Amino acid sequence: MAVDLSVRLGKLTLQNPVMVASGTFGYGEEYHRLYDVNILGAIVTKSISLKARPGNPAPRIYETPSGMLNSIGLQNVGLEAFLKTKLPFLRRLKGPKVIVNLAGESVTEYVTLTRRLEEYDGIDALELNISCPNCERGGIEFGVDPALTERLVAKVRRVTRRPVIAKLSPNVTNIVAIARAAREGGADILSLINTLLGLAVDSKAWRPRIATVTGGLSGPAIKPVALRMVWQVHRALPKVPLIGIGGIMNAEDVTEFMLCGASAVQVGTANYVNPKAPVEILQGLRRYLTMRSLTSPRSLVGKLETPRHLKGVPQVVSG
Amino acid sequence: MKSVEGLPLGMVQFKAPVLAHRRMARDHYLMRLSAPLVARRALPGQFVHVRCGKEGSPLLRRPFSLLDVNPKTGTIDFIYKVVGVGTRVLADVRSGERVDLLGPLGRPFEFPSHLENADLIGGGVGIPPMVFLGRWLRERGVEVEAFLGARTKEWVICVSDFKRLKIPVRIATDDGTLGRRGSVVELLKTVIARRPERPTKQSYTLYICGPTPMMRAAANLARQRNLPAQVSLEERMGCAMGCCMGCVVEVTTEPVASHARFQRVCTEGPVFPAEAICWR
Repeated sequence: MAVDLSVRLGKLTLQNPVMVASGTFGYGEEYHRLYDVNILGAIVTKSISLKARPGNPAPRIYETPSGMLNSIGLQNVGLEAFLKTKLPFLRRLKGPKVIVNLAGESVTEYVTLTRRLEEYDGIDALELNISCPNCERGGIEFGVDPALTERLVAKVRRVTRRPVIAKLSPNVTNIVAIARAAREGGADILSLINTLLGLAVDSKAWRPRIATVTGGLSGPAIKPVALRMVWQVHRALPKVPLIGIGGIMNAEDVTEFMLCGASAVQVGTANYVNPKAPVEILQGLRRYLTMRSLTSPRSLVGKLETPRHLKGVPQVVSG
Repeated sequence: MKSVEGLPLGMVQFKAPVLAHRRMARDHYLMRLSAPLVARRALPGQFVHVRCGKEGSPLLRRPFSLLDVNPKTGTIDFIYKVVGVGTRVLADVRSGERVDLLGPLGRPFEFPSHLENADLIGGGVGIPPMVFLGRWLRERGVEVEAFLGARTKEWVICVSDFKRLKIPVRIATDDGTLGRRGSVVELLKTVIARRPERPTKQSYTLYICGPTPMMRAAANLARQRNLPAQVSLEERMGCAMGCCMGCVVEVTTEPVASHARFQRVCTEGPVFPAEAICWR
């Protein structure tokens, strides 16, 4: 039996579950110089804000054990320049779904962004960045407050028919509460996790390693946290399609996220380490399924075997 | 100014065989890789992004500017100094092994259309890229002088490369163990002041690469004397492909828009006009 890698997340069907994470892949063109990005399940753009943003001062990144800390500050060209100079390339792609990631400083900004995008074809879904840890306003402010999250998602929901993905922050005590709120607001899909707030110190100079002092931690270091949160949200909301994010470096990592309840994944930091990581992950995933005589990655979703005494063991969610 | 062959040609990523790897001074290593496409495409000032560890540690690649390339033999050379985890792991790689290479990357040095004279000023591991640039300029009939600075004699590297290219070399060391004692920028200043003719903007460029204080001083000298100058910067990098926005430098906001005040060292750089940089 041939392997069919396609997956469904509610109304959104992807040719395979491997997406690239916002902020790690630009707008697709750069990596297209190295390999045909048409093989990807989806491309999530770098966060778009209403106006162009200069971003944070340097230094912005620092490597930590099995991870990296970043504080970019959502540097981007702004909505209009995105529409004019970046979207045309994405629209020409045949394979991957195009998911535009939005970052606003207020509910109104998210709504304005969403409305303007409605005028354009070739966008398959929106991902709301309510979890950027490096901005003074907006971003994480929403993602750590269930009421704000629900209100924001609901407002955006009202002005688009496109699938809305809420990208959740791990910097909360109760991830399930935020997930529920996003769902209540009308999010079709949840993606998790964004980076974990962290700090690296230069003890020779008595200074922080990055200019904004704190930054977002990504990479393999955060994978266990991400898996735990995906599993928790899947247990609580088994019907909600989830996108797993956090330190995915290879196909095995993808299967781990799927077993915990993710229907698809996003590859982020791995793009920096190995620019062809998504290519190798797809090959590896196909091999993993073939070796086990499985025909679809859907048969992995939520199949983590956990002790019976745990209440709310994930129900089987058919893709 | 315009780039000789336009923007960088296509980068490649592959596992390049290590042909030679030797220690050339304390903490300094030279690595020669077989990378025919990179050798053919790379221009002076460009760099390669190397995966130092095999399994996740260190996680990120490390950028190294090219000492030189040889399109005929398909080899590329770079020199690095062991300063941290990445370079320490890289130093253990042996000839015959392969390293994961991405490149060539970045915007190369540019030169005015009527370039006749150029000074190259390199400090520490900022010296090697000046060899590649020096060869290029010499092959195009430009008169070149090199000014090399380092903390101490042992770290004044690549002198023989410049001699081979028939480029006159002047040296300054912090401890005075070789050449003039003190700053290489002071040395350059003295030499420039002694020259009988003032160069024109069209016919001269000062090329700078080294530690930040040295680059800042050299950029100031160029500004005071109204000389065109270019700096090649170093910054911690994530992707090196222009996506992560991690390796930015602050540039003077004019003529660029204020939202473009942070430019990517990997893409808009590593070479910038010296006057564009806000030194911190």
